[in-house]
Amino acid sequence: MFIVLLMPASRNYLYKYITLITSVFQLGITLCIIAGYIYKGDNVPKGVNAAEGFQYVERANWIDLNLGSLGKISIDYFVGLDGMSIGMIFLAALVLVIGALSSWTITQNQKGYHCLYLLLSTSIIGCFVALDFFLFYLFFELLLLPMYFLIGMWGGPRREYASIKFFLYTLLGSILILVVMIGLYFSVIDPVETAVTAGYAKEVKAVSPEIIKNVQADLAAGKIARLNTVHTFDIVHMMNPANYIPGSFLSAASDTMFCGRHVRFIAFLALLIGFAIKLPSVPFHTWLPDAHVEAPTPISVLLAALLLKVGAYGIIRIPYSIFPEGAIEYAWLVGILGVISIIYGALNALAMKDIKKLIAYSSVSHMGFVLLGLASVTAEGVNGAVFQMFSHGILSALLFLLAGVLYDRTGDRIIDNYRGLASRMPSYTIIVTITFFASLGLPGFSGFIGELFVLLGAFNAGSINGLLPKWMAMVGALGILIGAVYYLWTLQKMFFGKFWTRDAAHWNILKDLDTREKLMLIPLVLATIAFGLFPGLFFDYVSPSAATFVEHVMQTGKINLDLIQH
Amino acid sequence: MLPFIILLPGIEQLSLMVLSLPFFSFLLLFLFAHYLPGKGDLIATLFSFLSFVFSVILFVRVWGEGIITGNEYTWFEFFSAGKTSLRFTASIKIYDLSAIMLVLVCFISFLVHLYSLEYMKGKRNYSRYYPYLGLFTFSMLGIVLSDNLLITFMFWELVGFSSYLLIGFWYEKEEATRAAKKAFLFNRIGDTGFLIAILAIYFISSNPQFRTFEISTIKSIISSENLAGSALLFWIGLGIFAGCIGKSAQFPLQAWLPDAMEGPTPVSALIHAATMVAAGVYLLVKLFFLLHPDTLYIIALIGAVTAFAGALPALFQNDIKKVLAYSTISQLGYMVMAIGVGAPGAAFFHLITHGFFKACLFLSAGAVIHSMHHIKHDLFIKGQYRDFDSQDMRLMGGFYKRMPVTFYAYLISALALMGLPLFTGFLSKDAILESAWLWPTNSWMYLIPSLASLTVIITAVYIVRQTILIFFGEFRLPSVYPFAKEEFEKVKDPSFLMKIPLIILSLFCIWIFFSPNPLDTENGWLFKIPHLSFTVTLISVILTLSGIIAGYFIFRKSGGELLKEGAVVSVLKNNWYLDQLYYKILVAPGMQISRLLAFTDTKIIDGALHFLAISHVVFAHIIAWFDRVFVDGTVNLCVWIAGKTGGLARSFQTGRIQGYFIFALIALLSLLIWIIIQS
Repeated sequence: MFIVLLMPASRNYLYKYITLITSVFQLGITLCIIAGYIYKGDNVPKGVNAAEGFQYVERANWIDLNLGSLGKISIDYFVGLDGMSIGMIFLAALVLVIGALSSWTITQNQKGYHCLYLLLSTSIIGCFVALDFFLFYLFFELLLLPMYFLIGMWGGPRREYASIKFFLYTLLGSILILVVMIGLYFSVIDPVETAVTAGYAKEVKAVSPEIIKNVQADLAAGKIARLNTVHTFDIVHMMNPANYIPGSFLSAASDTMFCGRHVRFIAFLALLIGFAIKLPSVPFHTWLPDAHVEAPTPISVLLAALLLKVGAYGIIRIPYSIFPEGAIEYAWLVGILGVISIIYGALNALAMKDIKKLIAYSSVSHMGFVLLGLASVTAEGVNGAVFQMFSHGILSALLFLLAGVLYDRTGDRIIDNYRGLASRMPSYTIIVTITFFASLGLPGFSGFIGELFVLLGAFNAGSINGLLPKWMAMVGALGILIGAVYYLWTLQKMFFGKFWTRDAAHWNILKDLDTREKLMLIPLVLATIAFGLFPGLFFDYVSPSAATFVEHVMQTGKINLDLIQH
Repeated sequence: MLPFIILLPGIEQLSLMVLSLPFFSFLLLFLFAHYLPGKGDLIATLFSFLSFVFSVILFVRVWGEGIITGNEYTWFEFFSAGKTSLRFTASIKIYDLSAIMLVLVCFISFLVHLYSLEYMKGKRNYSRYYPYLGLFTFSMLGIVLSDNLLITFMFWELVGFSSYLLIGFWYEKEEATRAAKKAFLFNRIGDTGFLIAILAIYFISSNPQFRTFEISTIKSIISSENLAGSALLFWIGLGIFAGCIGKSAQFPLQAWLPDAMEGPTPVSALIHAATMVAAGVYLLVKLFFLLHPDTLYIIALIGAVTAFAGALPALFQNDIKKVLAYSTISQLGYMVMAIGVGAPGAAFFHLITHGFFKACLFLSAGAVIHSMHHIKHDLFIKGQYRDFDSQDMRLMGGFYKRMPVTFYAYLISALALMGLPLFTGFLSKDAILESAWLWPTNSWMYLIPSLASLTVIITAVYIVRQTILIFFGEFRLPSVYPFAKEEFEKVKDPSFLMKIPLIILSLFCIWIFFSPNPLDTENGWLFKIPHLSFTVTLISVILTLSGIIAGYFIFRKSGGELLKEGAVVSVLKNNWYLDQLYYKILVAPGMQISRLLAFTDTKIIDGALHFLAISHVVFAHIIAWFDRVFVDGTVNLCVWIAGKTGGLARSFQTGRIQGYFIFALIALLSLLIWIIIQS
């Protein structure tokens, strides 16, 4: 799955086939994985905070360094799947195939393009499966590089500006994440390997749960010498408060303060901002419209459908799981960021004249629901957030592909320059209508389920765990209403009425969809209908993990909060 | 196969058949209409006929049997914290109410299918018409059957969507697409309230085991946990009512309904008169058990205001369909008011009778419009094309002689609308008015029944006006285009396919289908609503008659103008300027805010960002300058000093013998001096 094809062949026409075949192959493997994924039965592996709950785990020592008196570094190649990631993997595999098909319109420097595309696809999948923070960070950074060049070299007229803005924004986020990562690394040990170095067991395989408990107890009592501790980047170990070295920087029991707050809260906020930039949440979102507008169509698709999900997935996996007390303490903040994104994004979309910008802002609005759902920390809210991520992946891919159809023909994306496209491009109009309605939350399509569950969670968080006030969900519901306004308005202005385009030269080139385009669009349309009608297809896989996630955040969060307030 | 289907399945299967047939019709025609003969119109009509037949069978089997609840099907489920798993279910409940509603929807849908075969023939985009009708019927039936609030909401939205498609059916017409958008958005405003109510209902029980959208379960929770009359239910009721305000075009969201008349006329008959707009009322009747008494006050007030505010503008419209649209708003107001005053039975009764007579009125109007189209078409063929508005009543007149069947159908249903004895409208409207007059417990509450009774007169006046304008007097189009005169001679009743629905619907406006006694529903077949007050009945009949007489004398000569042009007329012509008001208070500020935010985004946030970036660059330049001047300067200084020193040293080695000699001499002299000093 992680093969990057860097074929130095000079034959240009080959590349697109190679990319396509690779991504189809990838989708095939993903489907096999999903088929073998266990999600039913009494002892469903649930993942989240227990390493044994993950499936398809691969673990190999990658970097081991003995630092003398500071202990040992242990960086693993540690990947695995649980309910939070399996949906994302499927989404990524699906969208990458569609993106590969859509990349057929790229004509210049195909070799470079397709190399970067494949590199990008590796790092996206890598982000979703990595369970070692270092590995995750590596993939996360690796996303930037191909993205920067793909926008900067194959983009529109203002591509340099857009790509640099994108790069700098995300880099800023990465730095925040990096700082926290290093802090965590110094504070967390790997109890398994520590057991070996400290002489509790002979080898890694011999370490039993009791030994781990002993190690953790001795660690808390300060009985393990500094020399023998093995520091780790393992995300799962980071979630367990027992693995923190007492008195270390990010231990909940320590009283390190920063700006008047406990340093763990600050770390939570730093991570939150780091990922919120990627998500993107208002006010860190302004890179998104520019990047989208300038990026070539397939890259816009990947950006909206997958890269934003990496941000959301990161929030679930890292700040929420490792610093659950922050999730409780700052639920209101996350909720407000979500609500502001929903409303702000939707209102901005209303004012846009460029169809791609409109879609970009609608993405901001829809991703706001993910934040709102997470903030609620209820089973409904979290399931809804993950579903919304998935659904938005499909819908935003569709939306950008549809905008690309028009742009490929005319190079003009201004809404006011078109009228009555329905009479010229009937199939196109049908798909646009379906997509717009799916996106504005019409029941029967996936968008509705995601938003409904987020709102259910957010509305009732107040009575379940007291994290969010009710008005947030109400305002969020208002966002759905505004969503309807801008979509219907665009539909009416561009597609209905008498056919007319500002540039008369466009009259003849506006042809209906061809086979390749239908091949890209129809699977996604079917997917949004299928998941809208049978959300169980998705929830079956996700909800055991989501429930565990909620439990973990609430329980560990409360434990840590007690420790901090001590 | 047919007897097999009818005999074997249980009630539930039967109702699922009724539900799914229109959906199959939609799927089949949506995907393959182009390959089917006649674009699949006959197939769709057949499907809707079957659906109607099944609904009648269902009705016969269910009637009087009490409530038949189907199984709860698990739609999907997911884990919540701990071991509990939350189930999302779908279920069907059939009882007298839903069975009648089912028949009504299927019946009118079938008649409209039949009628459209002729009316829509050859129209542009014909292949899309029937699938959309199928989708609409499907979603409407879904609302009727579902006993799960979430599923109901989903169908509810789907009804809005199919209505969007049908209003905007002539998508090349700017007004049509605008009206479609407006209808959907106005519905959405109400639906937001409905959605919030649903969110609250989900967690209504204090027991986390009871997380449900099932209406029957909610009912038992409310009674077992003693929630009736709680503040929570007040807000939930208000949210549900908000949904009803949107869908059933109640004040202040009624502005979408007149515009929705841009859709094809049969569609207006089905959707915007008989069924979809009634969905809100139906929902309130179904959920009557959870409405808080205070919510009911609000409902009654809004209903009465809508009845009145809808009827007045109807007096001033010149578009044949718009009059009927305002009339629909007003009648829906009656139904909502009836619910508010605690008479859901009467409201539902009126819903049914109104469904028949209003559909009939619309279809008759459609027949007239059809004739006008024909005139236009014939003129076009003769090369005399004139773009006149074929729905403008000021151009009509005298159709009584040429289209007798249409006229009588229209007349009967108009009499039912006015509520004259012997017609169905009388029975149901009377039931509402009686309940309304007996409801008040203090004096201000009499406002509500008074508004309702006032509306009775207005109703009579506007319908008399319309009757006179369309059917009596001279045909007025020739006064504008003289050559239209001979075309009028050719006008005749529409063909068989259109006539049949008219005749059937008008028959259903006669009392006998609902009650053996034309003046009393006490022993009605379907509804048994005892008389409460004969005074009220008598007064409303007198009011109606006086309205008819007044209308006759006003409009006999005047050509449809009730009042001279002026402020009042323009307010009412423009539906109380609601559109302009919404533009002022919602649309314009909304756009302003959105532009302001876009400005914030590009100027302030990005501006700050750019400032940051630029200041970084400036800072970098300062550093570079510092680097150049100071750091490099120091280095250069050292270099310079070294160079100068070197140069100095080099200047000694000029290569000239004389120079060396002088140096040697100086050195010797210095040495000598030094020796001397030392000694």
